[in-house]
Amino acid sequence: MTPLSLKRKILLLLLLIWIVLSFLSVFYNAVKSVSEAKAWLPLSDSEKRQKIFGNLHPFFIFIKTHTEKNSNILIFSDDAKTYYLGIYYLYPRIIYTTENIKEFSFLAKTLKYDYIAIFNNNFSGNNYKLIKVQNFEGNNRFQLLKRK
Amino acid sequence: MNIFIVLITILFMSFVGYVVIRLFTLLPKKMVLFTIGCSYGLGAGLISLQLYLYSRFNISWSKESLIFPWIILIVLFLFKNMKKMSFKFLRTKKTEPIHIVFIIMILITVSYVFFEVLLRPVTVWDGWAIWLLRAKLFFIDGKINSLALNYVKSDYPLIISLLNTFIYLILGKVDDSAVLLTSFAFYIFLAIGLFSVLKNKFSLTYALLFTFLLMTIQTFVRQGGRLEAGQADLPLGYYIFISTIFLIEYLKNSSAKFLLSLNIFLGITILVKPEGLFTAVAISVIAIFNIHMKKIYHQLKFFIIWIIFFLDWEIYKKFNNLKYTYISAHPLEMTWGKTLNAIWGTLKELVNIKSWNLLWVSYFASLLMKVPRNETSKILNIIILSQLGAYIFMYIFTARNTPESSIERLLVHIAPLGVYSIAISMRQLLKNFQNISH
Repeated sequence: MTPLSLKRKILLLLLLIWIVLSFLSVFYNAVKSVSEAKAWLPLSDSEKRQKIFGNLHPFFIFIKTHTEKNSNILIFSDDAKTYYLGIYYLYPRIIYTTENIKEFSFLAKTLKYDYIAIFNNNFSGNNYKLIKVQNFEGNNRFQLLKRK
Repeated sequence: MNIFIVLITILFMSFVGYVVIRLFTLLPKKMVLFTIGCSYGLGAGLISLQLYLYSRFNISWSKESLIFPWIILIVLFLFKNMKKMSFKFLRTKKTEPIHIVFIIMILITVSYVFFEVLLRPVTVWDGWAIWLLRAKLFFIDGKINSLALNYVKSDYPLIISLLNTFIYLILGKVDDSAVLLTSFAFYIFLAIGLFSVLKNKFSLTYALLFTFLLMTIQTFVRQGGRLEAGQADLPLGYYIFISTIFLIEYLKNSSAKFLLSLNIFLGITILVKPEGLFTAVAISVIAIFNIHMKKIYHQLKFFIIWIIFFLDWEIYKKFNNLKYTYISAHPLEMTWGKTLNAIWGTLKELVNIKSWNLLWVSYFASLLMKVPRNETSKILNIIILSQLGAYIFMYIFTARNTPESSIERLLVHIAPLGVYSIAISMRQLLKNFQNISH
């Protein structure tokens, strides 16, 4: 066997396996589309977003519904997605997020924020009054406070 | 309804690209299919640049002001070419059963990707945290607001976000499901580009086979529509592929037209993602070497195009005091652990059959076995390996950069070139098989 024919055989074998894998992936995707359709098609747009983003979706809708467009909002949440997803949902509202309770308490005292939104925690400050509370599935609690 | 409008908008952008290529003869008339492959990328790039320039010169982003200049160009083109239009490229000499099999498989895959892209809103982190986030902010602000760019802590170039802003402007609202069709379009036009290049060199069977192999790579299926649509990696892969083909065509006859087109595409490429800069430099070095060898120094002027694109964006960032630069987010840092992880993590991804089928295994096998190569193959390898080397270099020398977080996405940039390179290598080995190659 010459080296060239060995190369040819190895590369042809790889190509052949690749072709087989590609055909299999077409069938896999075709079959998968049925289960994907069952899982996603019956859902409303809001349900899809909750499936993707979890409880941050109703949390941001809750904030959006009860705040003005150009307000500053301090958000307490320990979910890593909060900052960017918060901007995505809430712009042109300007948000600041923290997951550190000490930092949160400090920032709340600066009174720079028109609103404070809290995901699963409690806060009471003299200068903010609680304007809305919403309990959400899975013992989740959203609170919104407005500067007095 | 939104889906229909977005599809029409994509067709419009493609037609803009097609008309620009034809009116300014950026490609020879006989390369019809490749022109179609380039058309969407050029149209999308030009319209995004239009939004960028309008914003810089305080011109409002109204539908009329954005579309009208292109309508004039299209009317001019139709007036000049109405009688000459031909669809000969659609005719094939003979269709064999194997062609039908590949076409059906490709159509099933395309249908699946199309179905997936419409199934859900943007899902992937980079999609909503970078590209579509800025598109939404620009749409709400009605301009590129540098304060907003600082707010989202991003200094990534703007082409992809502005492309999506254009879709929102046409729709008159934000629709982060329908806008994902722009990713699907890159998937389709990349496939057309690869098919046209292969068809030009090899038989129809061979062209269909390798187009099928590219389109069924699971990473492309995901980036084109399933779960990972809305990112800039597939578009960058598209632009790198098209730019490299322009380079290859340019090297054949040192045509100034190809060099002009190449530099326009490089200008767009570097404004898609910062990684495009590596490609622009590698391609320019090869092209400049050719200029030097042939002593055609007057062609050097064309490189000003992409350099202006690059400098303008850098100056914009400096003047608008964008604080969150790539360097500030990823300062220099090197440890042995990071170095080993950079190499090991990249190697692991290259053999990840679930994401890549046997693309990278076949590519490196053909490379290591020293399959006889032609000039095209050598160029492809230089671009692929220099790009891959640059990514490994980044993992080794910058902080908070690991293969685990991004190598799969980064390989999308060079995968189309990898498929093309394998097609050429296989061709070298299969020369005796009359039925498969010419």
